[in-house]
Amino acid sequence: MLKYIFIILSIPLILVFIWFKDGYLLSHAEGALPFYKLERYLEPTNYAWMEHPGLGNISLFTTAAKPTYIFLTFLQNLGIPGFIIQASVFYFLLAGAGIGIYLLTKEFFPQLDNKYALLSVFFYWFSPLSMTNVWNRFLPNYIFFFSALPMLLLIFIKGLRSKNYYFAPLLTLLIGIYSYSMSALVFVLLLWLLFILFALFFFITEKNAIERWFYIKFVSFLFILFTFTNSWWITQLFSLKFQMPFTQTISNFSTEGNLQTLKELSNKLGDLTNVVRLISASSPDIIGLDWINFFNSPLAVFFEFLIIGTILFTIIKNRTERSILILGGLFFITLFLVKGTNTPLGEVYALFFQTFSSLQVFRNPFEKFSFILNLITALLVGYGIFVSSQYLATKTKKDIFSIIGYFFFLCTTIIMGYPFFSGLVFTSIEPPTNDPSVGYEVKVPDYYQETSNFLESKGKNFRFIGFPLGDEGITYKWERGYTGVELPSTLFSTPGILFNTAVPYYNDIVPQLENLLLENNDFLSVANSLNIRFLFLRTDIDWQERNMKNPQVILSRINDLEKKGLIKKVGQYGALTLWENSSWKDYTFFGANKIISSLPETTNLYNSISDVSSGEITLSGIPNEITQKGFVTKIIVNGIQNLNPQNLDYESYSFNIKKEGDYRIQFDDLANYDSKIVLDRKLASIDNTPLTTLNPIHLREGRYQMIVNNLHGENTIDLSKVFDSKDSRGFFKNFEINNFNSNINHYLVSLDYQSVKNQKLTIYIFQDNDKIRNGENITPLNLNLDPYSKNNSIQLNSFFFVRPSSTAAWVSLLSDQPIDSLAIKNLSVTKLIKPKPVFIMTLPNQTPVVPPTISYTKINTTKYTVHISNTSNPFVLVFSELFNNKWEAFYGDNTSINQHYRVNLYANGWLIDKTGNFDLTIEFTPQRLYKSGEIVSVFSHLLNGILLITLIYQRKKKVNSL
Amino acid sequence: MIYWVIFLAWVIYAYFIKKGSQHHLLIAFSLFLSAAILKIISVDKIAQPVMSVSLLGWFIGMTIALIEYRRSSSL
Repeated sequence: MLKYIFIILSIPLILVFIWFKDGYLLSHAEGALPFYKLERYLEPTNYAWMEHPGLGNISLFTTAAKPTYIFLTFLQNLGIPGFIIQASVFYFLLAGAGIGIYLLTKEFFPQLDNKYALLSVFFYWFSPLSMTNVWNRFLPNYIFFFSALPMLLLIFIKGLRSKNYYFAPLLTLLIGIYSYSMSALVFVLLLWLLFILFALFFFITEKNAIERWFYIKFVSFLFILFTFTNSWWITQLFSLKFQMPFTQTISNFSTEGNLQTLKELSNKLGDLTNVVRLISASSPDIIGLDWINFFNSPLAVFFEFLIIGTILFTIIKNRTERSILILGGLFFITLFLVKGTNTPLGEVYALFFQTFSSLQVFRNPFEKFSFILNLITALLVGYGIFVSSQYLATKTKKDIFSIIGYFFFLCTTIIMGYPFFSGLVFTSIEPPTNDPSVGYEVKVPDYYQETSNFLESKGKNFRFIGFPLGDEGITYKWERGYTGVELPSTLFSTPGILFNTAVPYYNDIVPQLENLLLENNDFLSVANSLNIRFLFLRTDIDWQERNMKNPQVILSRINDLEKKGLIKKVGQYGALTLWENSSWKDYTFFGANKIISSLPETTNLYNSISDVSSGEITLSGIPNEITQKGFVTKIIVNGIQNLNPQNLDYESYSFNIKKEGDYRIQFDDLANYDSKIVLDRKLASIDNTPLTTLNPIHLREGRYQMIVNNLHGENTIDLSKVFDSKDSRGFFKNFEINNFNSNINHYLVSLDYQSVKNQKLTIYIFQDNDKIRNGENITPLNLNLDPYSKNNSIQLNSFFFVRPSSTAAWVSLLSDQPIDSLAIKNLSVTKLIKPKPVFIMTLPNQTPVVPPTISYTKINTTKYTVHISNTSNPFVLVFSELFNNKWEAFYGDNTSINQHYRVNLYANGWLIDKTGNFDLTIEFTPQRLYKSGEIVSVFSHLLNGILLITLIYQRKKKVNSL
Repeated sequence: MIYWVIFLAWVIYAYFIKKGSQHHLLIAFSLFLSAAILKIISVDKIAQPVMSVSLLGWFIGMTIALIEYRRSSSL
């Protein structure tokens, strides 16, 4: 046995040596880059609130990773390089998984020859599911869960079989070690599903009522221990239920939408002829390189069916064995779950999915349940091959045991293991990982550390914003590049806005910031309201790969702002250039007494720009107490587009006026707008009269309807700017669109075309940030042409929408022959401008009020003490952190302040109706629950340890007394 | 819907024919082998339904095997 344990410990050593021999970190996709600076991942796990991304967010499940990060950060602080720590962690996880599978196989099949148990280990490590769903996916919690499953299940099965309660505390201790894998709810559910299914099968196959009762007691006892010992992160799950932005998000979480996703994924991935072979149908799309196609070649398919065939044969032959009944039963149940809503009987899955909302985390059943399928299959593989070869030997009367056994060994290790030993498992379709010599290897340039140091030297009371600003995914063109989720919290210790993600309110604001910078002179007012002190521009990203804005266009705008003295260049670190916002001061806390009230609630930044330096903020609605204080200086009424938004000729809006008065009309996208508008069935303006110069219109309370003509711009095609190009698709004639503006995203393209010699024409719209692979634009818009008429002529009149992040575009005509022989007439591209009007009422000036003097002390990310002095009037205290109803404000006597609003679209504001000098405490109260949970966890683990020792001692005493 | 009908028909068949689990498991295994061959020769459109019916057979066969196990162990 020791020989086999030695092999299991040696193979991971060889693998991690191959993977890390060049001294680089490995990283990909959502896994981010934790081993670069582990302390930056530890910090958020200490609190229920974290300062990333950008405006702050709840920590939630990331807290489950705290024990792991404490230990690993300790190692990194000792000076051990990140890649060695990552290699050691991978070694531990691979070896742990191997030992777990080996012992678990022996637990179920004690008489099984060791070399067949070793085969199960190899299968678990190198199976196609392990390759695509765990190692190629490369998410740390996936890898942790992959490693934890065999060991946790081993202890659980030992507990059931030996009928000893001491396995329950032992198991909870082990779960503590693997707690990183609990940082996703789906794995908590999967683990318990596995435990319950095994317990159920043990229950069904047990005739003794006492033993059956023990199973129930053991699982219940384990559940209680699990709940207490893991309460530090479980409490965060409960606190989420009471947090407003997230309950809204969850209520918006459409069951229908998820069901649709489930059905699509089931359809794509749930084909049983793939699932049963443990093959992900999407792996060619994800990995994209030639080598992955081998797994779908006829020879490989035969081999994959052969493996499963031996398992099925064994299930039939040895179905009277309890272990086979349990594992076989679970094998088929898991197959059923992995295929999702696919046939047969997929309706059962859909029914559960719709009935229990928490099960919606299983909307990709293949990805999630495949962990269990891989485990059960691995446990059956060794025994299956053993039984099959034994059967063949008996039938043929030839000892071909070892020949068949070694054949499978070789196939498993050489064929399935090849992507692991070659490193190909760490490649994907996206550059730079599509280069096998780079794969997932990452080296962060030193200038990121220098930039982070610079920002850190300036304090901790501001944010930065980095351009170009994209969505979650990013591709860095470093010496060893990176593709995956954006890394602001990894690269910088200072909170900053570097990408957009699905955080409530944050994702309303961030997508608008880049265009606001380019188009609007008030960008820095918005920057101040976001407490942004530094702007930086990076040129080391593959902006086309990610459809982001061209950095040179942003640079040009930043240079304009610099010339105007609005920002100041403060540093250049490699590919990063930094500027300081000249009008910045610390806006973490400030007092406001001028309120722009927005009705109804809007997410439009253009309509919500306030000058925070003068104590002005925006607020949705007009709360009575705010009106009574006389704070409201401006009311902005936004229109609701309620009639046929697809109409190309005009837009129809309805407005609800809640306060009578004189209103001006303004358009959010254009300063002066000439058009015909009809308000309340009367013509309110005529052509060629700029509406913004019109006298205010007096409106009484009530609902109004307004119709505004859309504007069709002039032809933007300049025939003098035509160029030809050619790629594998054919010949292109390209026409540049002049005065391109992605804020106006509706364009109309028209042309008349007659085919000569049956030449086929395709029309593309290319944008400057289209994805380019191998010199070929792979993400153009393709305008579908109507079917050709009998005389092979067409008349195109088609709309297209451009990306908000593109800065140049051109119409490209593609033909399979040189384009000059095409008969094209009247090519035009025109802008369609759809105006969005707002009504603005400015209220008479209130008596000027001196804002209070405010200072603050930050205790930690969840608690601040705010010192207020010399206040003689009520005011709104603004806290520039993401709004959450669990951010609470207390006076010194612990009285809570109930008037809590969302201001400036994202921040917290409290109405302070007290004068004089006093202190306030601002606290994110779920932190109290987190701390309590942490204390409960620590004490539970201590008690758990004591319980374990006591139970072991009692057991030894009992054994000795026999 | 067709799979529900097949499933129901198979359950009725199993109930009235009173054959052991091996009978049903062997049918399921035959269907699995057929589906595997069809898949290897790239007749995917037929392979998938055959594999689906096979899975129904495995469920029925395994349930009968469990019942048999309980009966035998209670003797």
